[in-house]
Amino acid sequence: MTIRALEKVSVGQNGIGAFILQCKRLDIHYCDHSGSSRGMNAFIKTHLSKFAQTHPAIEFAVSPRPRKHPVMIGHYINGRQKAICVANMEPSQILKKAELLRDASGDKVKRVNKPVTSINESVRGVWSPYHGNGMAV
Amino acid sequence: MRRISRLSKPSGARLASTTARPLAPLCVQRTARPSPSTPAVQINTLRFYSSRQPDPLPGSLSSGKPEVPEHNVVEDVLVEERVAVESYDQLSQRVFVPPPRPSVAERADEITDTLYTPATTAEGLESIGRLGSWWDDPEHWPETSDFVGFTPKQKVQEPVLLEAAVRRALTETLAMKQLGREEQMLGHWGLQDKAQCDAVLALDVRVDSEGNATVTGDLHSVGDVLSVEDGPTSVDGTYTLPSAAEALAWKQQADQSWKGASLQDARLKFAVIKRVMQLTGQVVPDQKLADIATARGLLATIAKPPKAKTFSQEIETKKQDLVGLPNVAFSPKRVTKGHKDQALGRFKLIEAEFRKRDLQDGPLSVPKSREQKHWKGEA
Repeated sequence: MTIRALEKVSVGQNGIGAFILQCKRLDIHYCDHSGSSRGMNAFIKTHLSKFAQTHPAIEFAVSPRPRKHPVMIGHYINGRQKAICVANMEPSQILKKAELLRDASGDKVKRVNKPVTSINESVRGVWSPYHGNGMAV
Repeated sequence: MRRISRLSKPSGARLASTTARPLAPLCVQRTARPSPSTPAVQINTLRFYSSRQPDPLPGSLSSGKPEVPEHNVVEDVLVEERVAVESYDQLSQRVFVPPPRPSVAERADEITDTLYTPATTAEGLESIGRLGSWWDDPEHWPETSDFVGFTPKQKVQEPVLLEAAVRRALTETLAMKQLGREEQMLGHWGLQDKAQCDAVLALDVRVDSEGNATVTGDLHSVGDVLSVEDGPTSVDGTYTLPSAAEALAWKQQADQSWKGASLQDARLKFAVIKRVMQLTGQVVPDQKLADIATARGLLATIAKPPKAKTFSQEIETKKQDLVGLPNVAFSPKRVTKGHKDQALGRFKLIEAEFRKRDLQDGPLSVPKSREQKHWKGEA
């Protein structure tokens, strides 16, 4: 008798039924005086208020980092972090980076070299030499 | 090969051989009086210009002087010289002790003494003709000679106080104008005590539909106080404006229609702005003078909050829509590892564990001046 695993009733997929944003926190660091933070400071002044209002699920921590380039660090629910240096960028460019951090899953970036990726099981199942009728050699 | 080209022979060298006349001592060249060809300028308006001195009116505001005939020019120069010397003496009695007047030595070719022999070298000669350390002596240059500014050292920034100052300046100027003291209106005004300031603010200012303002009340008392020359000259340390609470109480009671008073008259505008400058230290830039048409415009020009020193301060004060959001945590200072531990409640536990092991005898956070101490070579 072949051993059969318990069949899954459903496969959890984010967005089917409920969507949980993977980014839980966004650290925004700037410098008061450095020229590389000019765009970041303008972003905080003009864009951040609206961006934070539209994303109440994300915690925004804004604090200075003197004598350093401006940086945005996304914290994700899988425990990983993703940091982007936004030195000398325009406010609109920084907004795009913030959206990138918001949309990221937090997973390590992996190379995708297959045309199709799926989380579904194979229809044929996994072949095993110990199961089945056997094969006459 | 010669790298530096030969210098041409100085023309003075040829002349020196032919000139038999010896050089006169330096002290002879110092003249006690200025050259009559150049008109003397009053010394007190040059170096010691302060609010104590009567202010010379701006050219556009003072009445034009009649042209002086040519034959009086020399006499005028002499009179001016005498005035300058007298004012110098008066000034020196008050603020500093002038060095002794230079003595003029006899010319070498006019000396009648037959035993006199002109020196050919400087060796053994007495050094004369310099002030030495005269001005280093505090008795010659006392602290009372310090510059007395027209404006206070600390600018008034409170909007309520600025409003009280503009109202007071407008009331006083209108009072002087209505009394017919237009020349004094443009001059230097004395400072008053608290009772007189309150009395000025209590006067009623009425503005008609065209912006013409009038003051009603006891104008003579206001004008007499302002015309007094002997009084405190320094704004610092004297009563100029009420406190913020008093000014707020006054503002709630006062009619606000006075802000529509017209300042189109250049003399009136000058007098009001001058007084506001004296009371508050707020200087109106030249390029904004023409735009000020009413007292309200003057208030809007000077009543601006001070510029934030850093971006963090600006965010804290002006961006309440961002700082007030529930999902935004703004920190004006750098967030350190210690702050994160404190936020998690871990900081006290770490300190307690350190204390148990006798490893840390104090807070974990490192004081800011630690590196500075190292730079200075301290432990």
